[in-house]
Amino acid sequence: MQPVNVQPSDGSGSAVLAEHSTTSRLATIKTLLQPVLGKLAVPAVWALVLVMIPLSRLFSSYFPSWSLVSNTITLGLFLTVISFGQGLVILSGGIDLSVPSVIAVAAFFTGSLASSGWATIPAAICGVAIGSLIGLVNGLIIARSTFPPFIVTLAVSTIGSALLLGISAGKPGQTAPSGLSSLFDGSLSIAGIPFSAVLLLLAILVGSWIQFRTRLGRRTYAIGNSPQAAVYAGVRVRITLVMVYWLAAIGYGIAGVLLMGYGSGSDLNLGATWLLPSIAVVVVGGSSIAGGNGNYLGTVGAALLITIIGIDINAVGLSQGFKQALYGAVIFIALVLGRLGRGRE
Amino acid sequence: MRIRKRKGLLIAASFVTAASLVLAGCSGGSTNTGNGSKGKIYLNLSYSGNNWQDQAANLAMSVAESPEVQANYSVQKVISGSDPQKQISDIQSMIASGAKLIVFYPISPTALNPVIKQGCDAGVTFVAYDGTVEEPCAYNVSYITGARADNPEQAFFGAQTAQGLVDLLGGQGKIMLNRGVAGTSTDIVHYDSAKAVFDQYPGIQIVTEYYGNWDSSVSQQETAKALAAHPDIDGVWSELGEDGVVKALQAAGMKVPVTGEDTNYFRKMLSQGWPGVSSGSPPASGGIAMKVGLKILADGPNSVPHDIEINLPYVTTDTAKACPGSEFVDGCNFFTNAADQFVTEVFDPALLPESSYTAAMQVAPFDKLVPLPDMSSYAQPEWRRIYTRGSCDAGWKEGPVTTGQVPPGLDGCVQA
Amino acid sequence: MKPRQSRRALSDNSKATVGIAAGIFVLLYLLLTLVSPISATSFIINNFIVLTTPLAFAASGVTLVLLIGGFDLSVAGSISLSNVIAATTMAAHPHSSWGIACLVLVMGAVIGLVNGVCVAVFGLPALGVTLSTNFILAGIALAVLPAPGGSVPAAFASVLSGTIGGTIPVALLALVGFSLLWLLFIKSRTGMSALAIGGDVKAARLSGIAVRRVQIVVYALAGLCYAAAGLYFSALTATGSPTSGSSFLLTAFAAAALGFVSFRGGRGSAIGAIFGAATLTVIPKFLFAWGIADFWVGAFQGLVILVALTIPWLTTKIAGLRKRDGEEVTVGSGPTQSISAMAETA
Repeated sequence: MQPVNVQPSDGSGSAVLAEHSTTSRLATIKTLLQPVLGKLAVPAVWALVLVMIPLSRLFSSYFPSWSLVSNTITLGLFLTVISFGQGLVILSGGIDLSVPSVIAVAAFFTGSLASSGWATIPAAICGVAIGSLIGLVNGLIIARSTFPPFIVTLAVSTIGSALLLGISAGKPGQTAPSGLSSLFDGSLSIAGIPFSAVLLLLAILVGSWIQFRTRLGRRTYAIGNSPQAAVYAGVRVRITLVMVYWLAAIGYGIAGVLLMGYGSGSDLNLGATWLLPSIAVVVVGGSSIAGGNGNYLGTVGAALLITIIGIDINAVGLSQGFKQALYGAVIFIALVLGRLGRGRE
Repeated sequence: MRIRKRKGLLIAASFVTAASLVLAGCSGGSTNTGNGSKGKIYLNLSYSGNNWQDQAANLAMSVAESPEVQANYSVQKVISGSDPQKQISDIQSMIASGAKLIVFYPISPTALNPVIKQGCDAGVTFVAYDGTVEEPCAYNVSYITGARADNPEQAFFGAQTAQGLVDLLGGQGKIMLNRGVAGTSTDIVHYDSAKAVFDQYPGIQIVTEYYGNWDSSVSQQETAKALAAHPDIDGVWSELGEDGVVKALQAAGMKVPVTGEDTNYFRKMLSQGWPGVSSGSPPASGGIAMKVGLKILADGPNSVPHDIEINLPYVTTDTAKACPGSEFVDGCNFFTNAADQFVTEVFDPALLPESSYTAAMQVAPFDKLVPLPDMSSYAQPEWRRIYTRGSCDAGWKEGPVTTGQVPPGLDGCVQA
Repeated sequence: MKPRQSRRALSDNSKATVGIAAGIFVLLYLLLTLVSPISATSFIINNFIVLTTPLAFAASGVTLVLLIGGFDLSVAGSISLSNVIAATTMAAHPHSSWGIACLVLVMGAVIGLVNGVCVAVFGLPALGVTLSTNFILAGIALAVLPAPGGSVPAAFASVLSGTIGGTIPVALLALVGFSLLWLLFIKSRTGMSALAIGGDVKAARLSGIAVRRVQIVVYALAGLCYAAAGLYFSALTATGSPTSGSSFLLTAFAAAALGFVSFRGGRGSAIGAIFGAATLTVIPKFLFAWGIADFWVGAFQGLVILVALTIPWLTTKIAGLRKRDGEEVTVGSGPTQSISAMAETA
């Protein structure tokens, strides 16, 4: 059965088409064009990233430089890993506010297990697993109820953070296990290329594979695009949703462990600054907030773009308030460009 | 069928809520150590979840849970979080429950003024530590405007560390500034007093400043970004989070003078030859503030000054010294085996000599409290009042301070 | 379903949800007074109402936007900026504080207008637009007032946070007045149109509703609410702080959820959100009075929110609406929509 409507409404008043015969022909044309326009969005973001490198000269006379690229890769790595999860959730038509608490939980347990004698890798696996429980609970509740993901993830992560505060009372700060810090302290770099470039490549490959190559990824697209059609096509919606939120939390947990390695330590506020940027990156990267339309490569490009712009803005001698306003304006412009590129939905 | 499922979910959730309440009520006794007949003391944190806050709270609780205090008072710790309304609400709850003493870390120097005034009118004593409040009836115990123990004229964390950096650079060089949390008065005081020093040296050029949020991880990331834009830096002035600054410099293969606060990693690096100065905020102020509050309860509201300054620590590459065990002996000032982000200034020989690494890491009630000395020698000089109270005392007005303070010429209060 | 029938059904449902939201709050406050009898005194009650009012206004603004099926993350930046502008200009002109308050309200409405135009006219996604607006407003607030300061004249602050005749809190009058305005709005053409848009945009457009105009109006009114929240916060703290709004970002939505405002759009009442704000504010006090350890507050709030989410199902039963397989009539989507609901209707 052919879906009647092209895109679900996101309440934004955008041109949702009525069932008129001429406009439904336009709709069909748009449906055909959409993948093409959508495909243009991803290269556009990456083109912007490349353009920013020579453009960075405007922000500092020392730019462009190898350290600019190297820092973009390292700092962009965290945002890339976090945005994979957020992107998957938004792709399925939801949103995930539990990013900060999962990061904090994973880092805390990794650190405290390691300091009580566990080896680095088992400690990290266990830490990520405990953090991913928050995502699992999110997924179970969202899959089996009609509760809005915004509130569910908010409530569950509030509970998670509160429990973490209680459990950690007495030792919130953790030292990173030594193996973890060596990922970032330059001891593993080859010919000046930081090891985080390897990790970034790994994140891109794994994330893309999950989104494009696995049944989970395809099902998520289907659910986000049109849940009714997904059900008609035999997609098992419930189990997919559980997997989506759980996988996303595993991603945040891994990011938490990486952040801990980068800083050689952590405290409970490790994840605080990553929620809004993760949403911004997914939106700028071309994903529709209504779900069903999104591309991890676009998200990665947006993560690197926002990171490099952040570095450039920092280099300018403006006061903090202006820098923050500029950051918001940049996101807005990227939003507009992305919308123009995709065409009105 | 779905209806039954929904009903089941509702019942289950209500049961869980009730059960958690019961469980929480039973476990809640662990932080509530009192009964109705003893006076009530509250330790109220706003920020939490980081080493500094945790250590300061542990020291305060170690004081409050010592037997001699527990004989007369019950103490409870309340974490409000970073929402000012939550702290206002919690303070109102504490006042309503009949608190005698509230030792607190204020989320804002101004937002709590009305509720503190309400409390003072109801007979509650308020002692703020590290952060300061402008409401006159509350007591402030802080290092922010404090001076070095060895030279009482050298005041202000910002100014002293700035001077230290200038000296290490020989008065010439490009520097960058790692500030704290934007929008707080503490950061502004540090920054303004540091700038006042840097401005006196034309050979010193501030190429950039950024906000590390007093957080090691954020400081490391921001420093890395700034280094990318300014790879020829000669030195860094930093607020808390300087361990992240050093790590970023190490990752970039640079070794330049750094001044900052008092994390364990930084002092470890200093002891290994890294050029720099470690000053900064002492978590000991939590324990000291509790002692001050107890003294006010015992000896009356005028037994201590309203504005108390804690000495400014000052540790250099030459004076950084590892402690052999977990006690402070021989003037040692960091611990070999502590975490990088452990904040080292938990000990004060005059005001908190009972302190130890153990008492900072978890609540370890002190067997015997050493009474505070005469606190009038710790009173904040009037000329620094404007930094913590927002205005000058009666009979004083704003103006540049030229005597009694190094460096001269900083803004302050002068006699009218 | 006939429009007239659905309208009455919706308002019955609204009354039911508001009633339950009020009931939960009253129950918790009564339990509070059991252990802390002083909480029943008018002084403490006034304190409580003044404390709740900023969140109540913020939650109401968010409710407006949720009703039309939209989203607004700019609540935090808007409140920070209102607070900062109020505190700095009132410090400079202490005798014009009421005039300044009106200007701040207008400014909030204009900000909301900008959001609304971007969303309705340019078709940009509400989440993205309001996310970037939030950063911009917070940045401007920081640029205007880099550290806590400014001051709100005692005359202004004490009126808003005081009482009339020693017993009736001004804040309570403000909330009651606001509720009356809300009732007027929701029964007006714009209000009914807003509900219809949130219920089903296509159907609303087909029935001739000027969707774009209503959306812009709603976002502007929401901005007005945020400015009111910022003003009340200024009166509560008597000063300005550039980051004062940041805690409202998530609590405003939590309060709306506790007020049984539907995140799918088309159902809910700001009066419910006001009670939701009151519930959120009383929970820490309630736990404090009962001697429960502080870190449980977050866990309890999260649990209460989850439990509250199950209640709208109850109210639809009470209001006697007929449902197909328990699914809602609304078809809005987005991150606030539940996928499983749509899947299960197939």
